[in-house]
Amino acid sequence: MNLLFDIANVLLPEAFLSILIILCIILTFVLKEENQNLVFAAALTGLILTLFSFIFIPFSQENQALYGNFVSNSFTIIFRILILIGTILTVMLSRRYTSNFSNSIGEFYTLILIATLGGMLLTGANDLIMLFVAIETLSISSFALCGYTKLDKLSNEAALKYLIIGAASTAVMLYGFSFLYGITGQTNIADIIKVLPNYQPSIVLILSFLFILAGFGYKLSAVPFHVWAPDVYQGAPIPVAAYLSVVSKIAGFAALTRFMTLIYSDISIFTVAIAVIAVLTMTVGNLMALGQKNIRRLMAYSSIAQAGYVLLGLSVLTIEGVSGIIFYLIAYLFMNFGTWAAIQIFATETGMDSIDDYNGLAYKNKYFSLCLAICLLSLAGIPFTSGFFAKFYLFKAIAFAGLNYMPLLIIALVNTVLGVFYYVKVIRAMYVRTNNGTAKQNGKLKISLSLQSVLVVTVLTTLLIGVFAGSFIDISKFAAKSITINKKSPVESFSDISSFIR
Amino acid sequence: MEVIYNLFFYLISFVLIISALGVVFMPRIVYSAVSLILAFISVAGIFVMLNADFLAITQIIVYAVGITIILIFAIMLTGKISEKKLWIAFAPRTLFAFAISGAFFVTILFAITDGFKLVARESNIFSATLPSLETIETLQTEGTTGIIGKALFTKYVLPFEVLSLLLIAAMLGAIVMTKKSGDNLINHTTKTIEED
Amino acid sequence: MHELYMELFNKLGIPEIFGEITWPIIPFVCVAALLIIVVLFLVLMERKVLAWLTIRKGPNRVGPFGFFQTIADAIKLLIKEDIMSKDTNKILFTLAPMIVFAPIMVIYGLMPFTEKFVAINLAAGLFLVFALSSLTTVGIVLAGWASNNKYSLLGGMRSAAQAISYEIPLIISVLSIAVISETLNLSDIVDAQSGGISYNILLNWNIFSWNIWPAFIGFIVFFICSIAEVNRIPFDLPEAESELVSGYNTEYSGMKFALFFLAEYSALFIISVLMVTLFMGGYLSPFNGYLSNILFQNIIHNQIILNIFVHFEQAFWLLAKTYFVILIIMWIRATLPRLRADQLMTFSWKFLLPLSLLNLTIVAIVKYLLNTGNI
Repeated sequence: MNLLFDIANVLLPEAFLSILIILCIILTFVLKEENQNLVFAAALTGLILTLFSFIFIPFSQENQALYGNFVSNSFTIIFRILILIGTILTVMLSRRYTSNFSNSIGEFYTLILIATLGGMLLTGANDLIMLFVAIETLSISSFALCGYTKLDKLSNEAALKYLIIGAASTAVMLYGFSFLYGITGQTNIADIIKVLPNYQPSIVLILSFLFILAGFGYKLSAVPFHVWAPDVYQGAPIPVAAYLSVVSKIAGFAALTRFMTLIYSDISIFTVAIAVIAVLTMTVGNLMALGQKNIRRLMAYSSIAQAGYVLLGLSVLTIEGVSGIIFYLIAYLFMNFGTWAAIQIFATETGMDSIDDYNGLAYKNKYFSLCLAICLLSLAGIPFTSGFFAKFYLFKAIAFAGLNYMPLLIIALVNTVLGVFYYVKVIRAMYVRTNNGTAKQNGKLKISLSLQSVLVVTVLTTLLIGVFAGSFIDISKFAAKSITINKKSPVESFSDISSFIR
Repeated sequence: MEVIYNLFFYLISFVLIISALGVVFMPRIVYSAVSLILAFISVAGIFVMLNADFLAITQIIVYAVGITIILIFAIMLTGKISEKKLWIAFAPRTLFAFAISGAFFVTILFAITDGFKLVARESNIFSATLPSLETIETLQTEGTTGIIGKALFTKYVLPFEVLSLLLIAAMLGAIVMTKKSGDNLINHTTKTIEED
Repeated sequence: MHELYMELFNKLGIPEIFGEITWPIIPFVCVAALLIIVVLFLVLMERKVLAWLTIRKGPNRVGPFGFFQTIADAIKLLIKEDIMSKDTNKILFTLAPMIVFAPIMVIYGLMPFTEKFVAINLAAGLFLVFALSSLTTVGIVLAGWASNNKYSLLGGMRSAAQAISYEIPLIISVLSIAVISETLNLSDIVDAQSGGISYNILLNWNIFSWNIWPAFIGFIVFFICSIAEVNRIPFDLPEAESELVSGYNTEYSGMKFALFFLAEYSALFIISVLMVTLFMGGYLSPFNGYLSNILFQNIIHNQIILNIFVHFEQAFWLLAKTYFVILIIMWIRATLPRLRADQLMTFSWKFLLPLSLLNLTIVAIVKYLLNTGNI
């Protein structure tokens, strides 16, 4: 067991990121207040370097590191890259936002970096303890980030809600882990897989699954565990809200997918549970989004609904489903970030975030409105945007999974139509309605360079993914192949169910 | 020895259950906190009965002391709460909570006794392979500290190292929250909304 | 001993089970007796030493040279009226002194006073000592809160803040001892300090292999932190007379006050014993082998009697070193002024904590080099 070999082959980006975190902490404490923006430069350069360090990691083979605590294969690598890209975008979004903080700028970036490290470790965590530590690293940094604007009541509320619900759901998840450990006597997932087939399936396994699902459901804001999302997204600093709705969700999906495919794949009750949660999530998310007046709350419910679509891909538990998830998340990363970047620009320049404030914006800022409209249309799944292809590919995977999944497909399609309503509501406000004086938009929006570049990059990528959907699908297919699905034949799994009923 | 072991186990369990109930039902929040200390120490006692000495001491130092001191500090600094009567007599909400937690309890009991059929000790739900007598002997004489230390630095070295960064994150968050001159930490969107 | 005890029960016709149950209680009875004797002596010693340092006479009325003064004081405390003011929280007010006192009694049982006289010989004894000693803080905070008196509350909160801040460098400096001796068992830690650094004459004295040499910085940190942990001058903010009347025990009188008083002086003794055990070879003699072995081996040929002599000598060495440490602590009390609250915190977090980490690093490096054989 060679430590350096492990790090070079598996954990190189994480090692870079850890060094970067320490560097940022030192810079934060050494630099004077007016030079704190150097931390931003350091973080951004470091993150880009970290992104390039993926070149040195073998992409197509599966490597384990540090006594099987972390697994690197093409699936985890693609998720880690997505998380890193999301973080880079978040850091760029924060540039303008943090410039008002004066004396706690460096800590903001450091916390984002630590959360990112947690997220990256979460994707490949192959040990229950590693998984727990990674999820906590992600969560605790997020709690601090949510309440970062501490003189603001909404931000306090957001942090407190996120913290309390997070603590409760982590406790529940840990309880599930303890059941899993009790059944198998192992913490390493590879060992658990070896031991689990010998085990007579019982209700304890189901309980452990439900508890663990509750923990992940909180991270993904799936429906029974979603109540924190609107308040947090509304109250937290906007870059943090963007981070939570994208990066933290992607990390959660990676971990849940690995967990489902490796441990809980052979009994169909589990997929049924996932399917039920998926349906609930998208329906509730879409229905609640319809009545929202505040664009940040609308985006919160929208992201809940989007999580529902992705969970559908998980419920079929096929390679196609997993590749659908990956492709959907790639598209989701860019389109959602584009929307949040637009909200951020609008909010920092005008200080408003209600949908009515967007009235008649298109007549003043053509390009800005166009960018926001493209992102929203993509989220709605209008053809020839990346969102359309992502939804199409995901639904195709569900359709090919079998006739049993037909109702799911129909519900998903109905939901897609529902979704269009509220996305278009914002676009209508910008293009159709006129500014009747209630909204205070004073002149043209002056947009800082970093925000501009985030918006442009995300919008362009959203369009490009739509154009070159084929190659992205190939990538996600390739990544999905490295996931092994421990599925028994249907007959066997049926007998499993009957053994429960006994 | 078996009799003494059982005697101590039931004694500790009794104290644990009584003090845990006390946490919930005590009329004032300070009493709940003191009851909580007793509950934590009883849990440490149960760890001792399972030959997990290191864990027991950690339980005392982290929970019985660290966490309860913070709790008591919070109670002391918020004077009004400490005077308030806590027990809300049977509101519908309380009954609902009782029903939910009762159902939860029954479910868990059902699960770990495999449908009430097995006495907990003979249950084969969990892969409890009892350690050999020699192992128990070494655990009792040499303690578990060495074993835990070795596991932390070999098998669980990655989580252990990541924990250090997790603690840094927690500390950074706490420092930002308590920094005095952070007048600018205002979320400018919501600020202006309040002004409108 | 155990067999003899059980034999007694058999002869008296009481079921053996009672013997099994009461057997572990015996060490505690011994410990309780020891504790009271130690405290009585310590109080007298403190008065005499302080009088000597400030050129006064000290107690000199009761008994020869005032030796029985503390006994008289103790009797006075016990027969005093137990006052409890109206608005105190009765339950917690009564409970708090017990929470403070009980853990300290258990710690006495953990200390290796001689090779055999260890009531509870645990594998993780060192860790348990700190867990229990931090438990007393809870009692102090509760006492401050239950008194319903602002001075008591301030004293209790100061005490908790101080205990928490100074515990961190304290435990990190102790960690270096665990690194050196590779164990948390207090007896083993003492044994690991025997043998000197070489087989040559003089260099094989135990004094050269005390932990104080490799972990000297740690010793200093430990010494300062332990003074803070037992709330003595210059760290006596929790009971600063000029500011807080008497801190958390302002409202207490009678037996409850006696418990606080007892706990305070026992803690002083305990922390000194711990310092001696960890850094200065505990019950080992500073020379190579025990004096009684060298002096009496030609006179007394019975091994058992010789062993008894050795035990007494071990107790003597431990107490001699301990009282030396206590003397220094009292000396500091007589000389230094009290710190300010902010100085107290800054000193702990910005000075002692980095120092203790430095010590740990040095010790770890030395230990690594020794293990790989490069020194």
